[in-house]
Amino acid sequence: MSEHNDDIGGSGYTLEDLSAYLDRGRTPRIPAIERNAECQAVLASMERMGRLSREIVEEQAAEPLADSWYDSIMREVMREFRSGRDIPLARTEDGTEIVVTEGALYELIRAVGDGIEGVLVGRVRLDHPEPDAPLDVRVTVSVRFGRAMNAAVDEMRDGIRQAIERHGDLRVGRVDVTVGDVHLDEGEDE
Amino acid sequence: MTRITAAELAPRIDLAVTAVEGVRECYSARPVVARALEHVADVEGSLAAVDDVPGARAITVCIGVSTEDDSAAVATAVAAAARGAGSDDEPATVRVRVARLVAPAS
Repeated sequence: MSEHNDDIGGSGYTLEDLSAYLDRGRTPRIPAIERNAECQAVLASMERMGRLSREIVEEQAAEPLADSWYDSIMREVMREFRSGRDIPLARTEDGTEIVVTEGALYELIRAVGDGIEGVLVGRVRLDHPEPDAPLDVRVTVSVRFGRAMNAAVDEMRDGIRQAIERHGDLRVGRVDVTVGDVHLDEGEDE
Repeated sequence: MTRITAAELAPRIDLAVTAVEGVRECYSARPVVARALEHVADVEGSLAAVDDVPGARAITVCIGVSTEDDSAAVATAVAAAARGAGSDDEPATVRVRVARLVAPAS
C-alpha cells in the first residue's frame, strides 16, 4: 500500500495503486478496494478510459496518446468521485434518511455523456447551495468535428435533466453545457 | 425477546440488503477508522454500520444502483429490508446512502 496522502475514499490506496490493481486483473482480491464505493467508481472510470484510449489509438493510429492526457482526465475523475456531500434523495414517514452522494451524481452525468454520439465529457461541476434547492449543473464537453454542436449540447442538457430527475425528489435547475474543444476520430486526419 | 448485538445484526443486514431488487452493489458503510483496522488485520467485517446504543440503534448502509432505476425507490426497499433484518423489534434509525449510480454494461 502506498503512503501517499491522496488515498481514495479512505481505502489507503492511491490512483496509482488502483491502476496497478486493474493492470493485475484485480487479483489477488483486495477487500479494502472492492468494498469501497469511491474505489469502485474510479476503477470503472479507468476501465472506460482504457477502452476509449484503445479505440482512439486504433482509429487514428497517428501518434500514441500522451500519458499526461490520460493522467489529467483520471485526476479530474478522481477529484469528482470523492464522495463529497450527501444530497437528500427522499424522505420517508418512518424517518429513514435516504441520500445520494455528489460522487454518484458525477458518475451519472458522465454516463449520460458516454451515451451521446460524438461527445466527450471533460469537467463536471454541481452546485447545490441548499438542501431543498434544485441542482445546478455545469459541464464542459468536446464535440466531434462535423457533429452539430447545438444538437449535441441540447441532447446533453436534456439527458442530464432526465437522468437526475429520475431519482427521488431530485430536481435540476440550470444545466450549462460548454463546448470547450473539438476532436477528431474515425480515421480523420488532424 | 432477546436483544441481538450489532455484531450479530450487521451480517444479517448485509444479506437482506443484497437480496433487494435493484441493488447492484453494496459497499462498506463503516467508519474509515474501522475499515483501516480491518485492512491492517486483513479481515473482512460486515458492510453495514450498526451503532448500537440501547434504545437508539442506528443503521447505515451504502449501495450502488443502476442509472436506469429510481434509486430512491430502491433505497426505500433497502431501508425496509434493513429494519426487518433484526428480529428483536429494537427501534432503529436507518440511513441509506446511494454511493454510486452505475451505468448498465453496454
